[in-house]
Amino acid sequence: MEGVTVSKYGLAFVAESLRKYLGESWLLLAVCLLGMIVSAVLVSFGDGKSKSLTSPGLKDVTCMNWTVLIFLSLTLYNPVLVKSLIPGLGMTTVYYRSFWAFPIVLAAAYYLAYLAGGFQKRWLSAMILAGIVACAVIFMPLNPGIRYHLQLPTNVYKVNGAIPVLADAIHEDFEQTDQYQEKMEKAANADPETRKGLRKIMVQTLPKCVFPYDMEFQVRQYDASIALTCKRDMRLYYEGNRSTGVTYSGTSGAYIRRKRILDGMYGRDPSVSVSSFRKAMEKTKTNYLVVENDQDSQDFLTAAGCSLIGDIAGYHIYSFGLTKSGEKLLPASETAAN
Amino acid sequence: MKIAVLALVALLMQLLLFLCAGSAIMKMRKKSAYRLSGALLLGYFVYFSVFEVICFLCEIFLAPLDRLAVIMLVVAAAVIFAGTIFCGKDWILRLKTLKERAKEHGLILIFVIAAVVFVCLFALIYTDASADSDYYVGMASTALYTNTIGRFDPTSGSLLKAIKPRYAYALYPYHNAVIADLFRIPAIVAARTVMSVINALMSCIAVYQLGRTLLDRKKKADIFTILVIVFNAFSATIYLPGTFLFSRTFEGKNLIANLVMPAAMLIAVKIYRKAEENRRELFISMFFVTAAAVSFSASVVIPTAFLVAAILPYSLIHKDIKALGGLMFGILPPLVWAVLYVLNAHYVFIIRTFG
Repeated sequence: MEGVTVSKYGLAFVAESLRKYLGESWLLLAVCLLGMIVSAVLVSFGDGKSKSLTSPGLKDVTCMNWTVLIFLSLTLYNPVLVKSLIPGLGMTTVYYRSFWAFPIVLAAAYYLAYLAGGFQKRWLSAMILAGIVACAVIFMPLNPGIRYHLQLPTNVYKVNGAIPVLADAIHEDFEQTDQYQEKMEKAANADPETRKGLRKIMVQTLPKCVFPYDMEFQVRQYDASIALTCKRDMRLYYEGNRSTGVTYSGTSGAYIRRKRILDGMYGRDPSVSVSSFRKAMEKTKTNYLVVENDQDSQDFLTAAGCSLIGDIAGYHIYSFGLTKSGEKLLPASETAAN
Repeated sequence: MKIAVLALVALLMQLLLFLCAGSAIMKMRKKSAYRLSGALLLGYFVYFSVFEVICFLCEIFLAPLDRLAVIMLVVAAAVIFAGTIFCGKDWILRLKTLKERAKEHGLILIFVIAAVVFVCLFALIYTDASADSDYYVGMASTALYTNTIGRFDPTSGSLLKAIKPRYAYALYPYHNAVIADLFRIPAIVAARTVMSVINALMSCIAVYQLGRTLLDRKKKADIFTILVIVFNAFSATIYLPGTFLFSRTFEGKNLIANLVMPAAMLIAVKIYRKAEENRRELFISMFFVTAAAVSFSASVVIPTAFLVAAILPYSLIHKDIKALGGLMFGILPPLVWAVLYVLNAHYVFIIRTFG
């Protein structure tokens, strides 16, 4: 839960987390609590004659709901305990999941189903159910997953349609390179039972790439024979996403190099020089850069020694430091001149 | 087209496997008139409990993925064979009475089926590009490509020195790799299509089963199921279980929120009701539910917290020592997981990726 931390909210952390957890669905909590209160009153003070109201099992369910709520309020939702324990356990960003332990949706649905199904006349039950559903539709916003991200898949893999084409193009190019042939020869003699051998076979024979942010997280789901220069948390951090709770300091060499590559390929930081970019590419052993056609800094990349090998589905593919038989790897200055 | 057909076969075979596993256990419990949906749900939990143990052993002994796939294939074949032989008659009996049972529901059954189809269809078509899917689906595709279990970083492809404690025990993603290996489909299809649809269906079944336990009549259970699906579809934030049900169906966290939680609530309610059902069986079911939950996600602490919050005070108030013992047995898998996790996280031991 981004922005909600114990250090910022102190004892109000639990309340703030709950507020952000429910958002405009607070109505569900209200229905759930109302159901629990009304049921508790009916069960406790009912005269026993109105059996249809309190049977069957309403007492047990309500008793269980109250027991769970009280127990969790004293423990998992206790602001004092949470304030002292959660940061130490490193659970600040995922604390919201503790609210799953009290199933608000299930409890609210139970009380409403009990109410709607409690009538002998079917049409009355149907009307009440329709009314509840209408209220949900009117007063509660559609699930963010449905609201923002619903789109029909364009392929059976349910990934960005450009990924299969780009992956094929990268493999096709990479397999023609001298570096690939050399690595395959080394892999053929490697022992997969040793760490070094397995790395030679399964890591060093893969093209190492950087993809645009919206594609990066889909690439290895589709094709695990493509290696990525950035790990997930590092890329998220670079793009400004702090939800993982992982941070990278300005002194981390690994992060600085990858930041330099991303800054350079998108022209985001003018202080990144051609030589520092090249060094970062060499050090990280990056082979390919995939950049959106309308966003790449082509002049900079060419000057840094990257070769444009493809313009596919709206993306430019650049290779770096790779040669094919007969070709000679040009230094940066000569590549720029060509 | 070939992938779609194989994916459909994978889906149907897994449903048959879960049905066989659940039916066989029901049969062992000497229940003749069990619900098929209940058997399917129980079979799902039992299968993933068994998978967790086998996969964990394969992981620590550095066994290749294809060996795990062969072991699971043998287990599945045995379960399907036994289930079909011993429970086939029960299924036919249940199917014969399907018409009468459908009549008891009335017209509302159409809306329930429509709602369930909506959830499953959504799981089928939903396209998710989140960073989390990168990790969980990446675990499966990396395992399949490298023929290893947990030895490579799924987000970059680099070789790990040791498996991170957070992911070492939540082995559900490797089930996707096993399915992909056995049915010759891409891991991403196994995870984001086949298992997504199965998980969505199982969540709906779990909710319906909970409704049948909470409420006395089938119609009320139908209303309950419709309301839960509607409330999940109209969940306002990305943190609510509904968003996980509709957009992160393939993730273990979704299974915790939308499958394990209803099952845990179902068991707790039966204990509060002093149900006629054998208590020992309830605690055994709890064991399977929590063991499967360990394989789904490190968020297994959530249903464990719920079960403790519900049953610990109950057993103390009613001076019911047996319930307390049952609870301890039922939550044994997450307790063992917690001990291993803490020791692993504090480097008392590590799970190396090399011998």
